[in-house]
Amino acid sequence: MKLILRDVCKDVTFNDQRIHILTNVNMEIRYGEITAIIGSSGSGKTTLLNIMSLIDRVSSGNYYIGDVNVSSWDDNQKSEFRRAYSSIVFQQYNLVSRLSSYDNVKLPLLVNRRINSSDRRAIVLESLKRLGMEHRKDHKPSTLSGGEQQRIAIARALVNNPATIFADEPTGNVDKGNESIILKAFRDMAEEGRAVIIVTHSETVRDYSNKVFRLKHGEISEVVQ
Amino acid sequence: MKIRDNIEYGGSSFLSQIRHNKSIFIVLSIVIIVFNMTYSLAMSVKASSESEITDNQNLCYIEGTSYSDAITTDTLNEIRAIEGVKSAFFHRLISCAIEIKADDDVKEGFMGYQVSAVPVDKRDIEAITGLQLVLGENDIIVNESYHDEGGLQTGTEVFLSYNYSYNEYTGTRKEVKVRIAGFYKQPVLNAWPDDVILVDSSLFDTMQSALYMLSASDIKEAQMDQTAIVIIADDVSNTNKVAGIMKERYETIRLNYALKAAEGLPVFAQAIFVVGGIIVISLIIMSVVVISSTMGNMLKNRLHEIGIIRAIGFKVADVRQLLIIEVTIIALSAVCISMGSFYLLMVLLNVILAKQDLFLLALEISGSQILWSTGITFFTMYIATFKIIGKTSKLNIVEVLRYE
Repeated sequence: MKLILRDVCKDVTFNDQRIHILTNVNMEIRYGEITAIIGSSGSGKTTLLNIMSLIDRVSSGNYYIGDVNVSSWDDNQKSEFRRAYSSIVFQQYNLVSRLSSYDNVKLPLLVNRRINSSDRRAIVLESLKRLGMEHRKDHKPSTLSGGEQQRIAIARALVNNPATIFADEPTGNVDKGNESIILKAFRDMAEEGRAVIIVTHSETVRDYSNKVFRLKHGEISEVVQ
Repeated sequence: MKIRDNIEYGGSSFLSQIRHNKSIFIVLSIVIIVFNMTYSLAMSVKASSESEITDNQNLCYIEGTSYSDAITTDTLNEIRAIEGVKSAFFHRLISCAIEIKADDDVKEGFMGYQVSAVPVDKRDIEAITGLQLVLGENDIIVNESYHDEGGLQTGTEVFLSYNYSYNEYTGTRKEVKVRIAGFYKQPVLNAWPDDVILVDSSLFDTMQSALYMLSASDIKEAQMDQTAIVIIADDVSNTNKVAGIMKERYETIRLNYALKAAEGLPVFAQAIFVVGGIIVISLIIMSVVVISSTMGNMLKNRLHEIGIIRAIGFKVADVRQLLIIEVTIIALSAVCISMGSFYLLMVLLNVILAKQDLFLLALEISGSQILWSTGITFFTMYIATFKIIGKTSKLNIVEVLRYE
């Protein structure tokens, strides 16, 4: 299965001015690989990731998941995809501050009616364990370091066993030690057959990636296999 | 999303936001307390009016005063014939005194009570006292407040003294020996003082003729017409009917009866309902504004959280359901807090009312009140929040997360 973007454009209107964020982006992303999208600030990396993760929509062009053109999906279909087949890791972690690490990781499972509460507990603890955060399960985000928060965010992204993982600067705010833990986790996920798409500035991430797209002014300027 | 998860998530959110919910609890408590005060007060006034009406025989009495033509004996007889009238008699009074002494030679050192005599016949006696008595010319029935006073008992012989004029400006006291035939509970009538004794008409005419220097037959003739009348209905439930017929037939007779005032009590209760209702509706509108603004601010602070859960796969409907559950938890807490506050206030008010001997106005909480209070609270909460919930659940995920 592949994620395919065909002539994807994204425009926004700001102060009556039309701004082109993405222009004719064409990409093919394979499952079982880590794909990195690299570019300078303002190049449109995050917008591209948002489109691929279906939290934003294209202005023109088509986005295929497998053979299905998802560009015209309605909000419910997109939500269904996000809850069942994908996960997002944000640069700013985006953990719910009033919830414990355990409850944050549990969030995606709340909308899965097929999992009962005892299985749910085991799945959450397994996900925390995988990122080495089991001992922090009762801690609230404010009591964790940046690296630990990111690991909780990744544990949350993994908890519903998604086929696709989108990560926006996942190592942007962490130290080298945590960066290595996080990237190894991503590599494991890709080896399990998932598609891992990482938007980054980091050259280290590049070393872990199977394919690198360089984005410049909203256009793909280089593809490195 | 399962309801149990919804409640768990909504509950934790409610607890984390509880400080911000203070103003919601305060406004809803005010609404519910005012509603319950209005409801309880109106109900207790209504209940007290009903118990007054059924328990009070005074309400059978109608006093009539003609403000133009005199009321003739024929009119009196017509009134007596009205259906529902037990008795009717002219309102006549004369001042006299009951004197307790061994014989009429005693001039000093005896006990006496100033009283007012009212002439009655057999039908009147039964209607007023409930006693089946025929008064002899020298029999009297005395107000029960004099019972045992100075040894006054049924059968006791006393002297009834009254004024006797033997010329225009001079006179003396005359007395007649009478027997107390019984005691009665005097009805409360505007025209009657508190010391009315009931006497036979001929004894009354004797006393009046002595006062006005006329013969008994002349005084009887002169008193054929009167300006005031007392009518007694055979049952409280007929008082209004009789009064209605009277008003229709005798436009010049102005009627006064206690039931008229008692009738006003349910109207008063309705007035409390109406005024209270207007206040409650105004407070509900005010609450909707306050709650809407408070919830708007609360949800504004939680846009990031909602953006996150939307990004990880919560549908618009899931978020809406989640927020409705939260609002429901807040509403339930508000019901408990406001009803608890009202209960405490009610206990306090009942203690004060009891001290003022106003037991009949004691406030109570009924099941329907609790249901109404719950309904009002939920209605207010949902009306205040449905628009904000709709708007919040449809937020733009990218904008919210980027803004943060």
